[in-house]
Amino acid sequence: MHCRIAPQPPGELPFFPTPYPGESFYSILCRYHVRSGNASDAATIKQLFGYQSSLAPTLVNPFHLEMASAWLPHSSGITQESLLRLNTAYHLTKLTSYYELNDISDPSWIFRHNLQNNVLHQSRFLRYCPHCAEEQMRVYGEAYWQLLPQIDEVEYCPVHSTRLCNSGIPVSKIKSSFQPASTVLSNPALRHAQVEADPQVEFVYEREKDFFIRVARNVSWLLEYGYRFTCIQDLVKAYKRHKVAEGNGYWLTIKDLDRAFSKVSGSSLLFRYFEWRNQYSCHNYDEGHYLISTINPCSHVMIMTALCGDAKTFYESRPSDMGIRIVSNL
Amino acid sequence: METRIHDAIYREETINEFVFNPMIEALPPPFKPAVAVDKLMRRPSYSSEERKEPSEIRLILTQRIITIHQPMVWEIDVLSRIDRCIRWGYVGRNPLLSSYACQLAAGHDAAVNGLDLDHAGVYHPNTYGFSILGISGIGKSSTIEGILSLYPQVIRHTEYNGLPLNMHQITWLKLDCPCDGSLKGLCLDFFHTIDDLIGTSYCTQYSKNATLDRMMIAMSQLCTTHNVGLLVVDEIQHLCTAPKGIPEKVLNFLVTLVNTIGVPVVTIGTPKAISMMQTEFQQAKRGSGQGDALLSRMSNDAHWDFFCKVIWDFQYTQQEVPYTQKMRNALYEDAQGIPFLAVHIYKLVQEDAILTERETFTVKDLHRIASEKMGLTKPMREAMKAGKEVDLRQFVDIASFSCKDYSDNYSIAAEAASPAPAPERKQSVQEAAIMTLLGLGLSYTEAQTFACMAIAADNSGCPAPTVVARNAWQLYQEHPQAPQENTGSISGLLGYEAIREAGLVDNAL
Repeated sequence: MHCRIAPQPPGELPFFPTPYPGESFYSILCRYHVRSGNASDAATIKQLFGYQSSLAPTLVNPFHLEMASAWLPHSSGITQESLLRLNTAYHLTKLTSYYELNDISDPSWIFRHNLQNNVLHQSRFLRYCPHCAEEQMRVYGEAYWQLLPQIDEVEYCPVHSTRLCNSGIPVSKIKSSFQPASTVLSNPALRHAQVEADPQVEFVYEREKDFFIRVARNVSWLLEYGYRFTCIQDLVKAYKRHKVAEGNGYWLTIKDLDRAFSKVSGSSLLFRYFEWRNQYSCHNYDEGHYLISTINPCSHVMIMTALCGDAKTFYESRPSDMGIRIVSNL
Repeated sequence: METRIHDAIYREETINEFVFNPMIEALPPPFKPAVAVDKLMRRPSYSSEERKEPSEIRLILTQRIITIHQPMVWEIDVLSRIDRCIRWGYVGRNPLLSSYACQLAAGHDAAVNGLDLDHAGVYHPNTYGFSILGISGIGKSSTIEGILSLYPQVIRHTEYNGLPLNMHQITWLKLDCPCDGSLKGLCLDFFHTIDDLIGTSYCTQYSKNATLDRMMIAMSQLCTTHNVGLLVVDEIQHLCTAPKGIPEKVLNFLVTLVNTIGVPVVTIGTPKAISMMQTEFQQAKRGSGQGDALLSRMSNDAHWDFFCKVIWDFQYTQQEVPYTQKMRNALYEDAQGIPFLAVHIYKLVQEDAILTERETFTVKDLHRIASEKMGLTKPMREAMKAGKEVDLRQFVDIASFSCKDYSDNYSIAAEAASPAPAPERKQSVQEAAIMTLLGLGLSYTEAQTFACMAIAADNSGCPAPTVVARNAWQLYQEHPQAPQENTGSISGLLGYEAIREAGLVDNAL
């Protein structure tokens, strides 16, 4: 696999913005650009990476994190590991990965894991919570792009329970430009996307508001605590425990999903939404394991929410905790 | 000056406004006057045993004399002002406050949207800075550099109370106003200086194709990003020679830096810059409480006595020359209260004593040396002594420092000190022609009349007296009978008023 080598490896940066809580790595780089006084986006990109690299993967993925060791002194308190854990969706993404990221300095891992964009929100716009943005302005003096609203299936702010908004900046635009939230959200013309939402999808989000708020909270929890779990192995174990607890067989099936979603929503609305979002997987599944490994992590969070209400219970509960006797030795 | 990046070490602050401000807590504590004097003072090593060294060695050792620096009262005052400027300047620019990020976002928006610098900031300044004006050689720049060297120029922050805080703090930044007063030159000098300090590449980015407005916004943005504590602009009098409109633009930019970005600005220059700055900086300096430091040469008082005693200790002649009141007065008379000149005269008189093997010197020797070895400054020094106006622009090379602007500035300062004497009345063209015609035998009336006629008939506008006399003589030869004497007939000549105003005719006519 060809890996691009930076022609001029970057050195220590003269400053680096302190990451805000829940901030996306891309947003940190945007704030760097704001402070840099650089004449152009290209100048900042070259200063950061040593060559003209795409910025879009930095929105949710740990792209270019290996640069942090060159950017920052050891005593800075900001490390590759802290950025990976707090400012990227890696620990959510790896839930369905077969590999653990062992060496962040090896950029080729991103190609081996095919992690690009698979948790990015389907709308493909930069997203935000208006109430969170107001709070950010009040507390920090500037708004920033939070990581959570950029994640797929996150439609509500878990703190304010308000609907998240699409800004006027498509993700395609951030490939080679910095779009700081402080600039975008202060411009009325850019605060909202000029694209009409699908009314049917909007109906689902409004009808199942409580469910999607819980999904958002579970995604937030996994972003924070997902480091505890070892890739797809722990996911499969958790599904196994749940299937054992339910006593309905070994593998996760479409019927299991239908049953779980219907139990939550009282109708087939959620399940039909799930099917629509995972069309390829649902129509081509080959019993349980294939289904588990082909749907994206955010869809798994929906399933966890439907099965157990929250991701913590899904991962950490044991059958005995749920008062169910194990009927077969699997 | 050597630049070294210091890692931040935070002190506990007691002043309420300074608490929890990493920029202020990383500064050295305020200097007590005695400590400041000790730090600013420069005394080379000396031993009386060195008087016994061979003459060629002692001639080398005399060079130490010019490295002596004795802090004056005004230096301690300036140090105190600079200290206040730096500390209070950081109060509103605490990176932990929301206003810091707000300021940076505003600056970026101004750059992106092509707005002017007034939209690039949201600060209300706590201090405005001040000006230091004084004649060249009085020690402004060297003193400022000495004061600034008491502060670490670059402080690197990595963590503050457990919170990651990765940034550089540039406590002070000293720029020289470009010779042509160009704002672009000032901005590029700023970028170049930042690049040298912290290894960035702003100069490369902005030296090509960047507009001046963009450079100004970038400069203001970088002042905030890199936490510039104080901006010192030296040689501000260069703006006086800039094309019209440039001085106002530069000074307005500096005022904006103060008012909008909150960076205190200290300007250093010669009295030449006084009138220029009074109009532009008046608003900015209002309410600053710092005032301006207007430095003049020393008076022959206790301070001068103390200074002389300090340098007197550094003697390399084999015979000890005692310090007396006469010596002090002689040194003052020759140096006119300028420490730089005094130090040089004292050094030169010792070298002369060593070279001529007399190994001693007297008051007369001081005067002689000042006259012989610093003869180029003699008219200037005598002018200072008499308070007379002298055209000093001819004295370009004096001793080891450039005196051109010094002499330019002193002439202006001397103007301000004492009014210029009335210019000597020059003989008019008419008078000179009359004198010539009188010499040719014409009566006074005839000479006056024909001279006026010749001037009136001349088309050049500024005829030489000899031309007028020749033309008048020709007119006399053609028409020997002079026109009837009538004062009114003169004024009836075409263009008489213009000729009179040009000084070609005597107003007594």
